[in-house]
Amino acid sequence: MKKKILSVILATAVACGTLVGCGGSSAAAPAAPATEEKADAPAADAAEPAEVSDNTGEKFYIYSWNTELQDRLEYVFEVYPELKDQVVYVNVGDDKVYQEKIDGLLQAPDTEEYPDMIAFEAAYIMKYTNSDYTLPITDLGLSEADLSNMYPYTIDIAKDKRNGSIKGLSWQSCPGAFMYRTDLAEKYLGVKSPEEMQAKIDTWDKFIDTAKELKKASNDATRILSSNGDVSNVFYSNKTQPWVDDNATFHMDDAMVEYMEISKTLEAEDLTQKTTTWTDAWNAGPSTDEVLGYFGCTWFLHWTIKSNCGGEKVGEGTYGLWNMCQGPAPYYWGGTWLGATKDCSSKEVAGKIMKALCTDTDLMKKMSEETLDYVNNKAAMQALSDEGKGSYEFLGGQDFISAFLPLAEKVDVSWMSAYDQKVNDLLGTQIEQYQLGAKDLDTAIADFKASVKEQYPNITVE
Amino acid sequence: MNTESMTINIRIAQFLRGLVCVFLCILSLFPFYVMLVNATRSSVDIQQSFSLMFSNHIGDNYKNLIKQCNETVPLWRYMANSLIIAVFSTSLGVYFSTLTAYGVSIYKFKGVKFVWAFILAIMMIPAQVSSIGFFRFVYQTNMGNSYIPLIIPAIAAPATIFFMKQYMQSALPKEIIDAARIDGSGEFRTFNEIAVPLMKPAIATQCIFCFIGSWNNLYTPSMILTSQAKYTLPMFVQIMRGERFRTDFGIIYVGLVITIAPIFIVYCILSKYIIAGVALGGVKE
Amino acid sequence: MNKKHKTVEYDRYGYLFIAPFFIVFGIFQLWPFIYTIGLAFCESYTDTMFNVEVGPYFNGLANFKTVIFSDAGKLFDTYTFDALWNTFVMWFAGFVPQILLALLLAAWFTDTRVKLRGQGAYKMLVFMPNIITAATISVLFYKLFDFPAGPVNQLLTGAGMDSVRFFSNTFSCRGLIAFINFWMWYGNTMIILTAGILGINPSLFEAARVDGASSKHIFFNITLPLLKPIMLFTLVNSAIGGMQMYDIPKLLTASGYGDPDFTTRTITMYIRDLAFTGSKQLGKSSAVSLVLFVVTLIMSLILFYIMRDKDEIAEQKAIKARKKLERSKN
Repeated sequence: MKKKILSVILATAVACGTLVGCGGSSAAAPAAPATEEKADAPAADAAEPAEVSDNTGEKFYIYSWNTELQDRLEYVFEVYPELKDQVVYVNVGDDKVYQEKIDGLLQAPDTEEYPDMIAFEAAYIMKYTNSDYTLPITDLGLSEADLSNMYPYTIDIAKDKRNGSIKGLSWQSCPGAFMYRTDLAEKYLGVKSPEEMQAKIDTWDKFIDTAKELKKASNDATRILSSNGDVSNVFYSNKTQPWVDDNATFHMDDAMVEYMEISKTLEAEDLTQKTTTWTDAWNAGPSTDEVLGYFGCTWFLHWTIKSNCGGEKVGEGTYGLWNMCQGPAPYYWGGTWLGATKDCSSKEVAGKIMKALCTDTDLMKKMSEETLDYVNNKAAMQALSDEGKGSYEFLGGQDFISAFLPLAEKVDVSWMSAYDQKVNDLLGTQIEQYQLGAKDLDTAIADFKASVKEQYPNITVE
Repeated sequence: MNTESMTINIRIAQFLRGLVCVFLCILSLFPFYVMLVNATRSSVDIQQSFSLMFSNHIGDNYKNLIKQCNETVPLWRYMANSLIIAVFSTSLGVYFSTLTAYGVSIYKFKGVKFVWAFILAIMMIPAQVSSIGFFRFVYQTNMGNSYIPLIIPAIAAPATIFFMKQYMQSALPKEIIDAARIDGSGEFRTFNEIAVPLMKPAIATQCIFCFIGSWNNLYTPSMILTSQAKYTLPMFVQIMRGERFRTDFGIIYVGLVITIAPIFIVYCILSKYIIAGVALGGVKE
Repeated sequence: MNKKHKTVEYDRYGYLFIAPFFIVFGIFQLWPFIYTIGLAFCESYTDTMFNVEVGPYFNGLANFKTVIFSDAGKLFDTYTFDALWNTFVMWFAGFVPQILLALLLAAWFTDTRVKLRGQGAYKMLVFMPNIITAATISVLFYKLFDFPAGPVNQLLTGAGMDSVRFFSNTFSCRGLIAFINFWMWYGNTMIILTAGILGINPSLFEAARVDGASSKHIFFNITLPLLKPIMLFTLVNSAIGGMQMYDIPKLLTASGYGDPDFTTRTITMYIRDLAFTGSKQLGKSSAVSLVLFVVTLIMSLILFYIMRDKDEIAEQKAIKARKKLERSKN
């Protein structure tokens, strides 16, 4: 009986299959998938209004790799409510495949989801601003005068090397600091203020000593960092030259060798939790007592530490038990830029968004006040600082704005290049080998150079 | 005496072998069991300890997953996309492969031997070999980010043709075709109305395998498709490893369960036929 | 005369029947393949600094030189052959236990003396991983073996051991990939071999048993030799499939580029990495594709040889039989 039912099911399946096959072959085959898609999806189209009018050509697609920009766009919609329905925010969700995906889309301007505006990270923004894939902001109705309140480095990064035109704008400034747990620091290191903490880690040697002290005092319960890779951004920022200079020559900076050595020490002396950056275990750190601190920047404070601290107000999780100080060296990390694409469907919309999000002092002040983001607007930040709005419960009342203000002025980005993200990844691969003792320093560096040469055959690797 | 000890030996052997088989079955199921269990546990629990006991957070995990997905592309969409591609490529692929196999086994046209040798020769060449040219070609002809390059190439499936031809040799007597011709049936009608029904078992087997192959494919879709609304289920699995899902373990496990569920159900229903098909494929060749 | 005319007319339909295959094959496989060959002889990449495509310009064998020789001129000391080697190692480490276990199970399942109950259920469960989406299985194992607190490490720490970084160590990482391949495929091989054994003429076994041969004897002296063609077929088929390994290593490690230190990067992953990341070197990537082509070609020829041999024998037998028949008729 069972067999019979099965054979009936099978026969039906086959019959359907063959029929569809015949239909597909006699009708115009290329049209078939599209028809099927529509026939299959009416219910959902109704539930998802964003998808219905895909073909109107008026949708404005913005691409990014997480929800941060999406939240910020709400401020733009306050000023321009009519944009709310027009903008489609695409969250790619994985920064590993983000560039691959964007590149694919830029090659296909006819695609309906062709990006009109793209969010870029510092590590690869130059690859796009130096190319014809992005539009100068002057084409979008903005002038240099609009940018007077910005931190100059945010503008320098987005300048087209070929003619100096500005291709991207950022709404945030991202100086970095060392963010640490006050309760653990006091318990194990006797540290009571950010100044005292800074004194304990103002050079890398002291940093390592403090790490050892902490490990011993806490009886292995607490480590200074979660992953060995946490120090990377401090070192990247302190390179004396970019990975690849304007003559397409590759440089292995001394800061990078020091980075390798420090990583090795951290591993060999067992000074971190040995997690991997951005993994689950690493994210779990702020909610436990196992990690003293993280190297992080403005957005990192809210985006990563606060959202993983295991609580939402003082007394919950580690909320309120954090402080920050500069650390061994001033540095800079990340930040998101916006750029309009070559075939952007509406320069007007792109201009409006950029103008509101990145230049409107009042709006940016409000945004900073509500989201605690450190905005790319000196006037706004100064005003907030003057009003004493920087005191932050999460940091136990520490004024994060005045802490970041001098750091933001110090940011220098002459070390950046279009190659950074991939080259940093390649370095990370070899550092892991060196840390674990699989390779000695010279081999690791040689292998690193070889892998760079393999990825970029047209640059000179000495 | 001797036979008695023999039967005891056989009993022991039977028992031991059964034990090994049960162990292997557990090995097959265990990862999926852990997945199911973790899908019902909260993210915090998963991080803290290992457990084989089901918990009651599956509803929350599921809701969170759906919420996460709805921020960009709803989960059912990936499934529908995979289904569309799999259904079309399977039906086109199996139908035209049967057609081609019929062409080379029924007709004795000039060069038929060469054609057959050629199909055999290209059977083993993996698609990855020409993927760079394929990618360039697809984008130059504006077929990028569409399902055409994922569906139409299924028509040229040498392995399916091979299977079909093997099967035809035993299941499709030439006399029947001759009889149909005498009755005045046209060649294509003979194929569609006489050959295809006779080939049903083989067609069913190949449908299952083509469908599973297409459903599971990651390499080509991840190369061709750029807009997320068109992603397939395996591509969604790839996304799940990304940053967006990283902080919550529970929803990743639920996501994995959901991606596995359809093929799992299909397997439960059709496993006999699938296994028979595998055995047939091996012996015939 | 009339009859002959008719057959010729029918046979012409053959071209129509095979036409769709060849049209699609020509457009979607042959042309891309020719395109790939062409690109392999060209310089074609994207200049990262200004994000502009360079080429394709003809540059002769330059790509092949970098693919086959290292900068120091050493043969095969390149990333390409590293990737080939990785692929081979991971395939081989999975295949050996796969075929051995499959053989053992096939022998048990076909043993007429020690009859195993519940074979259908065993077969169904053991084969199951084979059809589950490889991407899902890969991500599942990525989660299960997570450091420091994936389920497997939780088990280890629970038993008082240190947690292990499975994905930072070449041996364990390759081992896991090999294990997943083994785990996914031994059921498949087992079913094929079982069918193979069942296809052997039962009278051979009976005759041996009458002669007093033991089970072991029968297995090694009758079953195994007769199973050889099927095993060879499985071997070559599995090797060609192994060469295309992509989903599992791609999704199993954190970076997706073959951690640690590219030791789990397979040849197809390398083709993709070259073509779609960094300088997007389409030219070099095409040259690597052709290396994969040559390797596959060699394997296919081996398979072809095995199969053709059989066909020929069958054909010869058929001819003989026909002759006999004709003779007896006469």
